[in-house]
Amino acid sequence: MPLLKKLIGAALVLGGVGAVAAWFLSAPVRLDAETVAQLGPGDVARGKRIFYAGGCTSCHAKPGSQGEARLQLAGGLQLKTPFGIFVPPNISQDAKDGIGAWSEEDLANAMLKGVSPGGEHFYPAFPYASYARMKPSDIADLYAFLKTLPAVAGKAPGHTLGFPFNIRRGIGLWKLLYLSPQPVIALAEGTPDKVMEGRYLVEGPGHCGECHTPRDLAGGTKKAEWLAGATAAEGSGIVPNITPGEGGIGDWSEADIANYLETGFTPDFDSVGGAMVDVQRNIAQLTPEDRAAVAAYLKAAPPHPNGYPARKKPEN
Amino acid sequence: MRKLVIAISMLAFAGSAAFADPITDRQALMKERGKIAGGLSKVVKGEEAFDAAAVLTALQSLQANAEKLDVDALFPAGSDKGDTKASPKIWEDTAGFKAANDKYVADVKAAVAAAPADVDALKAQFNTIGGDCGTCHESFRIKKG
Repeated sequence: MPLLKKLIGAALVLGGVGAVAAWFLSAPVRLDAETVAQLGPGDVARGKRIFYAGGCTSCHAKPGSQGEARLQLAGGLQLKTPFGIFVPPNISQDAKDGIGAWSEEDLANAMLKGVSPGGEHFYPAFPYASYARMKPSDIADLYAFLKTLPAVAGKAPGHTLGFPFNIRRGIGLWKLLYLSPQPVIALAEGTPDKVMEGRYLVEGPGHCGECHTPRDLAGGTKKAEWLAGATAAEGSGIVPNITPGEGGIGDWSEADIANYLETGFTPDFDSVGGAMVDVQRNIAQLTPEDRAAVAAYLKAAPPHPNGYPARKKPEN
Repeated sequence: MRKLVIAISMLAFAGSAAFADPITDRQALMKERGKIAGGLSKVVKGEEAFDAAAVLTALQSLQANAEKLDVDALFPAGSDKGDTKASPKIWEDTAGFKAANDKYVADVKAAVAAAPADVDALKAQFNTIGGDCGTCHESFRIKKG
């Protein structure tokens, strides 16, 4: 059967080409020299702002810790998502179990490219798809601040993921689709600086879109429904729509948004809840100007209806 | 006679229905709580002048409201079903839920006991109490659409 043989041969060649292509396309890509050159020496005080804007402690602090203990970044929280259980690692200054031995460039590759010092992909549960929009100088500042935090011994357990999500190399293909340093919302020339700064904080370090934007089947955020709210990745609830669209926060003033981020109270005196409690406490550490910038951007963001399905009302 | 029996049983039914909806009852308590806190927050933010007597009255009504929340009566087993944002964790970790509630009640009582003399004192108390709201809602409430 020469025809069958030929077909099998062709299939093998095609399959082989595909596999080789996938292998090359999925390779971890590090920062280019030009970006690395922009890192420069970091500043601790500025880095503290980035630390709280980025909410590092929300995921990396030992679960349940309060106060000063929130700065012990030993990891170990369990994020139970549909893809499996992600466990944020130890990012304390411990040289063996944490990131104490990392260089500034290592941190920049992790945050801007999602690549570990060992040259592997990180899972995007670590929100580098947002951090990729950050300025290299902010990474340098964050690095300087992280250096002031304590070393905590002890490795956090690894992730527990099902097939095919347990194949790290596959993340390389995911990155081709979703990893970009470009802003999500294009702002016209002449947009006030306040809104521009808010866009940077929300889309970059603040990584608000990671929870507030619905995701597609491959786990990427749907940019056409940016900040429209989503079914929560963990548990059974939703994450609210924070656009001015229907179901969103169009009736909140900029002052209302800034006040919520500072105090945790909505305009009608409901309180912050769920995972946002921790986020709000971090954002409360920023300056009033930063919170006002976030508010200005959210008011300027395109309106969308809710990005999660309407709740079925119980029958009683 | 038959009519009377029916009337009484209807009344009893209506009565039990009114008492047997812990979800509505606890939501009403929370709404009232938010309203009182909202009034105090205006003073904290400086939108309204500090009036020691009025602030104390508000704190006292916050205490009365807090003491009305009886966890066992308002969060009975099975009341995680229905039109509620209560998290299943309330029943999985009832001790933790009660501890969070007790801390809130204690902080409100402490504020009443140390009636604030100026806006800064109120602010400190309000921050503690507001923090309690968040701590409880962080673990024990689910946001729904």
